[in-house]
Amino acid sequence: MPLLEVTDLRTYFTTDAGVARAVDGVSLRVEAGETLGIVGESGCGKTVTALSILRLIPTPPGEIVSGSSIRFNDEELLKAKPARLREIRGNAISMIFQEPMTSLNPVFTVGHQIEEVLRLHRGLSKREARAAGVDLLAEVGIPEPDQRYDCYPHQMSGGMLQRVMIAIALSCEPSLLIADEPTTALDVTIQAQILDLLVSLQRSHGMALLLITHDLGVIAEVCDRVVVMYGGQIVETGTTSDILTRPEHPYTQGLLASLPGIGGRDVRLKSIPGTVPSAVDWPEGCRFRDRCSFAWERCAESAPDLLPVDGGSGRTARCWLHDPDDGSSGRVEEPT
Amino acid sequence: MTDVGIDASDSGPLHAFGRGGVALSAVLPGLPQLMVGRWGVGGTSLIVWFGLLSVLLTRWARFAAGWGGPLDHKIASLTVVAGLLGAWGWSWFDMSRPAESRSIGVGQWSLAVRAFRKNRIAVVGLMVIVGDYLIALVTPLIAPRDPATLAPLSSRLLAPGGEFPLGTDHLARDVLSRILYGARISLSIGFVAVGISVTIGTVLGAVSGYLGGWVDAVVMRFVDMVISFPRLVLLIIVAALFSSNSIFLIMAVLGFTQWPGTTRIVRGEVLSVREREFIEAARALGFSRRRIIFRHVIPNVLAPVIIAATLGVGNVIVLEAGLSFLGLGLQPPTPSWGSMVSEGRAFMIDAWWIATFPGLAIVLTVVAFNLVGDGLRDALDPRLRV
Repeated sequence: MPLLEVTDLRTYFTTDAGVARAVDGVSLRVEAGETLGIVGESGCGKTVTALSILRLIPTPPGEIVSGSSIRFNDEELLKAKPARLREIRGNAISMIFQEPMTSLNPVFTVGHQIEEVLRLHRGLSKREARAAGVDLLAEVGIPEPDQRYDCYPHQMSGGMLQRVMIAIALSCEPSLLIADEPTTALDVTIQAQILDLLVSLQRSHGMALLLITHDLGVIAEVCDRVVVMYGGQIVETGTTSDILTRPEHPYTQGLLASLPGIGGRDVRLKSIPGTVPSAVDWPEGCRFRDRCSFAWERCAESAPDLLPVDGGSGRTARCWLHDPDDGSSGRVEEPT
Repeated sequence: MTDVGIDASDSGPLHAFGRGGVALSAVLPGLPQLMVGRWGVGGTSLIVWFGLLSVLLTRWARFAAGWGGPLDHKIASLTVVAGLLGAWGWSWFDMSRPAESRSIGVGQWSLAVRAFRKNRIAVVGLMVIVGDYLIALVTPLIAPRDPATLAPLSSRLLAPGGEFPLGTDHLARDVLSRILYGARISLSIGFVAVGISVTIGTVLGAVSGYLGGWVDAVVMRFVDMVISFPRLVLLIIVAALFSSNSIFLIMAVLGFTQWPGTTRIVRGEVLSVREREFIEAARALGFSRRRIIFRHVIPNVLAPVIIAATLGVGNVIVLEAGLSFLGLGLQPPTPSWGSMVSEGRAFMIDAWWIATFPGLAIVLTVVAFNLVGDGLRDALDPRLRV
């Protein structure tokens, strides 16, 4: 039984321009202790997926459409009562956010904020909570945790604050940690430290990690499996090494091709032509076809489901190029 | 600790005092602070100390009798003791703690305190307010005579000087004593009415701003309704409905009509605070809506609330004075600044002192509250802070 199983998740937002289908039929699985990466560009629905799992979508305007299912430890979160959800949040499932500088309440010391979680979810006394909180700060690698404990957020750097956020997220020993772009706001050297910290904590605590990022480098470093999202849907899934070495969906190929490499200084970076269509009206058929160099008539008519790729290794891709009934199926070759 | 905000002007000389400073503060609280240029805190504690000590020495008989007397006498005697011990204890504590912990800018509150201290005129205003409240508390000890007792008729309308420092009114009552007793009325009405309005305003504004939707719509229409109703008319109606105008009635009426402004300010602030990421983080940690509103949202909007409250006290004092001036305030012979101005109006030409001194008291107090309010606005608004 997977720890988290999301089936056909659809999260729609009602806007003045129409219904924005931000997440449109996402299914994914996270096993206990594994790291799953969700990668995609801005507006592809990664963050909304994460917020939906914790039921943090503001309603209205947002709505998780019926027919969706989010099972955590075999419990249907979409049917859970608010009080039960509050028990799960921060306790069994924790989340860390992109902006450490603004994710902590500026009027309280960081210690106060760790304490609050420990006292609420674990029922510790003030003194026990302080001891546990200082230990947590030490565990996430904050020097002089006893003194840092009484600092206010504005007295600490972004990297330190992200460590504090991780400490808060870990305080109740969650079985799933959702990290929404945890390193995007940090500079590169700190990014590496925070990622290392996440990986080592994930191992030592045996928790599952759902890592959301737009950075394939982060994925390569941390994740066991990857799902690639585009236009509110998953377009490709597979193990990290498979996705990075042999991308099957044209979008994933485009993403990888647009990474700068070492050496080729005078080579112009490739980019995927066009822009992401609006969530209010996704194109009929394949949502990537306007930007895809392989698109043909069939792509305009309808979009495929996630089709198995590569002989049953569990990889899938949402592309007609992989339709076994189509003559042109098979491994995609780079057009010349 | 970080070296953020160590105030160089503070740490050096004070530290140099060493044990001498501690000893000095035991003799004269506030003096060591004054000597190193912290005139605000030093001057205040010195003045409070001297004032209360002279009250204690010159009114010893009343002070001693106060413990067995009515409640206000008990409070007055208690204030003298607490004030003396407080001034002495604070100064001693301030001198004996290490210099660093005194001036490290930790939270945003201590940053605001430092910004406020730079605003000298606001500090003077604060000292006036503190003095006002102290005087109001110890009035039974220091007032020369009872505010309602009539002297022999021969001493009607006496000019200031001699036995009656601020003169007597048309009923031969001592104007100074009546002003001192009147301070208790004006200041307690200001304090309680603003307390009521700030509590209602903050809770309603925060709930309405955070929850939004129909709750917000209902609360804000209610605010519109209360604002659109002319306040003075409401006060006159209530005063007419209840024949005995107790001080609590006036506090309640002023308090329950003062809150809409605070509600609007708080709601506006909450609308921006609730979109901040730490509120989403709080929800992701499984905090309830009530906990988020009261423990996470409200502390972030307190700065404008404090400013509105300070300015509101001045506003309420003026309103009460106006109400008393119209004869709708407290019943005579209870002295209130507004009713004294009203009574003195008829004698303005012959006996200017009856209306002028309470009028000056109103002006001084209200100006002090407004100065402090403006100082707080500058100190608490990070956009204005350098």
